[in-house]
Amino acid sequence: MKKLIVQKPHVVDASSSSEPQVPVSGILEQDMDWLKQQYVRCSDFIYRHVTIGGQQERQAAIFYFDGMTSSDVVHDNILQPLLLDAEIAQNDAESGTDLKKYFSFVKECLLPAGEITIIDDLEQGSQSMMNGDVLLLIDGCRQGIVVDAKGFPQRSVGKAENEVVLRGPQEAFSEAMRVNTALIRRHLRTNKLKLEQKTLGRYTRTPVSIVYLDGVANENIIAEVHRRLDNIKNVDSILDSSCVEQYIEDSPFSVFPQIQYTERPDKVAASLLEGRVALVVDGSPDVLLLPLLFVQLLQSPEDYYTRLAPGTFMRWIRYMGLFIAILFPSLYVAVTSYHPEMLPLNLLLSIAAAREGVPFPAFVEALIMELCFELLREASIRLPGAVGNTIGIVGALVIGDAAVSAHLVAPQMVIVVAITAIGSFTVPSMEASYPIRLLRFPLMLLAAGFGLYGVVLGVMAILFHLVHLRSFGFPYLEPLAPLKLNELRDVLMRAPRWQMMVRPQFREPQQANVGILERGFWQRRVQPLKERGDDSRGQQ
Amino acid sequence: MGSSKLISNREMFQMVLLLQQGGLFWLLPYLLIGTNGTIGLISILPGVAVGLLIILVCAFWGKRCREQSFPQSLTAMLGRPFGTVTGMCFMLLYLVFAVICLSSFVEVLSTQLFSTTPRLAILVPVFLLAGWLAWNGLEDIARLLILCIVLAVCLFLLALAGSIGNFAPENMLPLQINDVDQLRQSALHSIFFYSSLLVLFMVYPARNQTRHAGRQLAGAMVLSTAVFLLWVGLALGVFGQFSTGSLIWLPLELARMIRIGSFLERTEALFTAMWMPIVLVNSGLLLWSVTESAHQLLHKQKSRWLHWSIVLLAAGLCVVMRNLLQLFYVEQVLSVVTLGLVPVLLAVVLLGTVVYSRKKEGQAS
Repeated sequence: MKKLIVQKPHVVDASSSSEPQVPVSGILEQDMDWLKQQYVRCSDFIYRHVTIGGQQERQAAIFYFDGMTSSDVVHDNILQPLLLDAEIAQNDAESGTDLKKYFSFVKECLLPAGEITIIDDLEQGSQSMMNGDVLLLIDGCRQGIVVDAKGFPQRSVGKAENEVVLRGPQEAFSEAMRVNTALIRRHLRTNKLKLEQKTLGRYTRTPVSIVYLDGVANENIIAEVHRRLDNIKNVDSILDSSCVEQYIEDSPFSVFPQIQYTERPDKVAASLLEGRVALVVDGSPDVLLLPLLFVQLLQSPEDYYTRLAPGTFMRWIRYMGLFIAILFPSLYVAVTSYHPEMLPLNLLLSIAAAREGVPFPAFVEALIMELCFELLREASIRLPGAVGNTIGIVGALVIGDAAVSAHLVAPQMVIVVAITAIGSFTVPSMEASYPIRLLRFPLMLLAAGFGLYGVVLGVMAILFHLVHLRSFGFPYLEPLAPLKLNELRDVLMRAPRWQMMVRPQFREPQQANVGILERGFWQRRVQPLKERGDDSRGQQ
Repeated sequence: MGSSKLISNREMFQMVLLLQQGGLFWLLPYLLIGTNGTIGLISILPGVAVGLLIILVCAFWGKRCREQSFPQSLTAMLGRPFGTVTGMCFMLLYLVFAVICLSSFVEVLSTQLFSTTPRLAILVPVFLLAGWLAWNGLEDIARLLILCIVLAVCLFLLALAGSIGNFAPENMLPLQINDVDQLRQSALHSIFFYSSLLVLFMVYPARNQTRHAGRQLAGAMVLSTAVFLLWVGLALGVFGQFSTGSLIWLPLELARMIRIGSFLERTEALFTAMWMPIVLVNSGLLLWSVTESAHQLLHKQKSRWLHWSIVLLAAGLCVVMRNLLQLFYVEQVLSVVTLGLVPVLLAVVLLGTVVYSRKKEGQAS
């Protein structure tokens, strides 16, 4: 007699201790009708009536969404065992007519899937189906079985496109949360790596994983992350990690980001080792890292993969690029308009000669060129592939050259704008480039109005804002303000690795004084669940 | 505020170092050297003495009344009415220093750099920024100190590099006392400016370290005095004592001497721009002292209305002083008032602290 050896699957009992919303009735027809009603006019909703092992008294049905599940898993791991192997296996098993024993027999002996979840709530079963699993209901049993059969289409692990490094890992996250968490776990093969999952969004039911290293991350931050995420459970949708970011950041009106995002698993792993917390959102290839310090926006993973001297040199190039990107146009406008005496005579004459015939003041020239550049940049992003690149290059050349030939702008202005653009491209983080692009314009305006004094006014205003900004309780400008000399070794230079491996670089995360975590504005913005009066569907 | 421990001893050290480098600093050289020549520098000694006295009393008080803010402890030590009056005297002094600090800076900008720009257009942004910084609180002010220190050092080195070629020690001679009354007057001015250290009473309770900072603060004050003397000495060596006596904005004149190679010259605008953060942080600290003491004396939570009303009042007082002459006149009057008021206030605080701590010890035993 053929003996069917079936590996016992990993069984998760997810039957809720609280009252189920729509309990499994045990009457198959009734449950089928409920599910059909829920998914009426859903052409991808598939249900199949099966007779387990050919025995008429053993009626069951499977439910799943076409396209979300793997057909091979459905056929080989669910239908075949139920229809064909059940008869063989049953002869060996002492299942009898006891339904409970029979249910155990099905879940432990028949289904060779890797993960099985027992549910007693049809709502929960529905949710699992929408995650790509298969729901199995057996007539007479007041529990259902959710079988892991995920097979929805997803992008494979590709190359990082926005955070390119010459040396170091090249892989990037994809949209599937589990793939992303696996990529992180590949870097951190320790049981200290914790992944706590939440579900956000009333309609999207998006899984979000809170990832941290136990014993390294500050527990206050972890608790605060939980708290902020719990407060946004009942929003309609979470389509991307940026949605989560906008809900939980400290100062939404600030141009500076307080949460970082990355597409690189190695960067996430390094950040977790520093004591930060990562949020992996299903459907998003960008993982959030928090808290964020301003200096971290200027750090690239490549700094740590190259040697000391090149790493430090690249970092200083970036600082220079940042300075140029924010201040160069405004300084040019200020000096040429208000303080020409500062320039050497030859340079002054050269500028004056070049500006001969230009009808606009320096500020208007700068504004026109900067706006043109921003238009080109935005347009080249939206256009596909090679066309975008071509438009960018040709547009820049043509517009720049044509504008100079038409005496609309001086040649020096084209150079200023070009150098400014190059400076902004040296900043490794995309989210850091937005404040740079935005702040250039008010600084130019202040330079036009007040010269160097205006530029300093603007810079001081930005500095005051940055000093006051916090990211999950941590001062944004740390370790520059407040000054922490021992942490500057990874700011002013890229210190040797053997000097940075003794303890996490971020600080002493477990002992860090997290300070003010709650901002009054944030509390007012997101109303806690209890105060809304909705049926609470969020689960703790 | 008494329970919020926000700043370190090191940051307090930086604060004292910078107080003498801010807007108040622009006027003092002229007031010391103007009619006295090089020997006028000795009139800084009374100011230093007053400064040390303030630090001494502050440390003495801070050791015994650590858990309370200054206005709270005044009312506890002296009783509600007398404590409130004393607190208001301190608050008015802070307001005066803030106004003089910002007025002098606005005066520099409007007379030297922006002669055609309306004074109000220069004044409003300065007050807005200083008021904003004061609103953000002491912690933010403390965090900006290191930037200001770096700028102050850079400015001094720039001025030194630009002027050292023209420096001649013999330009500082002769050393002779022309008029004792003028020397006495200069001493009054230096006492006035060093009395700005009274803000330490507001800042001291906000330290997050138990180790007392008296010696550090005294060291900072001596160091900043030395830096000030270096500045003035540099100017005297470059311009001579008679020319120096006629220059009102000494650092600006030194900045005009700076030539970086043959590339960069006439950098007074850049110089002033780099000085601005120092002035703003100092003014922010002084304005914070005013608004914080007002909030505590009136037993109010942090209120935008009260804060910005005070800032508006300070701005209004600046507007009233329309030119340098008026600024000097007001400063002259205030220096006389300060001479009488500051020792009295210090004595009141000292006596009050002694009595209060004895009472506490008595209650404890």
